[in-house]
Amino acid sequence: MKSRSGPNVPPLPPEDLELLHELLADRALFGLEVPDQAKLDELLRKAGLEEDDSFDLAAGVAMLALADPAGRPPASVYTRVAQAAEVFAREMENGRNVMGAPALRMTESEANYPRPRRISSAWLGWMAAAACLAFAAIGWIQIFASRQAPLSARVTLASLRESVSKSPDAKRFSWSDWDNPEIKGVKGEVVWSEDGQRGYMTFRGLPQNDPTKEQYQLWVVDERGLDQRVSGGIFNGTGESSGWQGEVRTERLGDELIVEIAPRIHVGPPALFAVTIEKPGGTWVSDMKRRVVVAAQQ
Amino acid sequence: MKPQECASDLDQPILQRIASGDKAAVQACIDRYAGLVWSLTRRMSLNGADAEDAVQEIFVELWRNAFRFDPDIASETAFVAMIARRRLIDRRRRMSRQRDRAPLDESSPIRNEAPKTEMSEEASIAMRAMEDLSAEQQRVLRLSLLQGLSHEKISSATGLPLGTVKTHARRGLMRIREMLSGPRAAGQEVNS
Repeated sequence: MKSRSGPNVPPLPPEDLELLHELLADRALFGLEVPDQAKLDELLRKAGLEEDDSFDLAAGVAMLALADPAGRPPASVYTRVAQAAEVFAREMENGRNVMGAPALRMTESEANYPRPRRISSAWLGWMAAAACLAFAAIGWIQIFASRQAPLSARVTLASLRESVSKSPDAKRFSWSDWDNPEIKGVKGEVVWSEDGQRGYMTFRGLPQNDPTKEQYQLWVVDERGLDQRVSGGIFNGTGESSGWQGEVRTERLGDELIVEIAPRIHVGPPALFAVTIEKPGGTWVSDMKRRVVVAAQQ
Repeated sequence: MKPQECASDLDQPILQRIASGDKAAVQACIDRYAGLVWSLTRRMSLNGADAEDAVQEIFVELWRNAFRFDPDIASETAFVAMIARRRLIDRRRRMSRQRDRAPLDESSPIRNEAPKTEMSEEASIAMRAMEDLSAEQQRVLRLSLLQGLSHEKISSATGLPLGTVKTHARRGLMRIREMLSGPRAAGQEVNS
């Protein structure tokens, strides 16, 4: 939680400071579209700030002041939250959420927290997939998402991918058709650096999707087990953002689509990357019915 | 997962306990803030199922961001409200892309009376700041804060020009922020 006091902001030109405050206020009250978020990121950087929560905090407190008490939530809410708490507690045991974790800001929906209505089918779907792929006892990681800094003009995903691919610990995984895929023949690879906790996917032949109807969603699996599966992030085959929080960065390079993988929490050695088609904005728990490609450790 | 709290545990904010790896604090967090989160969520969610999804999202976000909580900057309740609001705005924006929402219901009850005694000190300050605003500014802010409406929707609902809506909203929030930056704002709660 960053300081809300103005004096922490180094001198900015008055017009920039005014715009910074306007964008922070807009974000707190209405949320920002991608271009405005990029402007805000740039102004924060110019001001030497990683983040400024003060407007969000003011909006939260004001909402608190205005909202009528709604009484105790229904039992079903407690059930849902308690299930999420159990998943989170397991993550705590694995040291994923202790103090000192990588910097957190606001992120996309946590994809590994179960919905009671769907957990059974999701579990079975993954068990089947895991059996087909001869993987067992694997877990899920999550990709960081919202409020990422935009790429500068000269730093491309292609260059970042090249950099990661040259790192000594880089591992490559090749895409192949998943069991009973909805889309066949998609080629490409994943390059991943465990030390750097960064990676990039490359696709060739991935059809463009209609972002208003569906999006691709990445799932990353490590050794921690199915019960900790987490969404990887969402992206479009068009290579363009549609403004959802949780979208990872993409870049078109000829016939290739490059997609960033950048978990904000440490993950173990990945055993599997998989892509599904989900509703716009992604899903918490996929039933894995609309499969596209999978890249497994050789 | 039952909380096993001792007196010393209770002296430490729940979020700091979570950040330090205390699993019992996760349940304690639910016990303490479920009502608050539910109240905020019900204000901005469309229906029960959506509200349940939102509450779960908010708590997960809260636990994951627990280490960001700084009691020197704000109370735990304020931090919870901030996280909840951010998540609710995000959900509202996602949903608005999927379907155009019905016009707002301005008949929804909006409290105008004085802050209740159990209201946090920060919330009381925010309420006083709200009361200092013009009636138009208050109306715009309430529609944004309580119903999560966009600039355009507020303009349509109130008949105010879009630019006026933006100005009222920004200046109103800036005023609340200024008031909260006072010396009594940080880390103090009344009867909580």
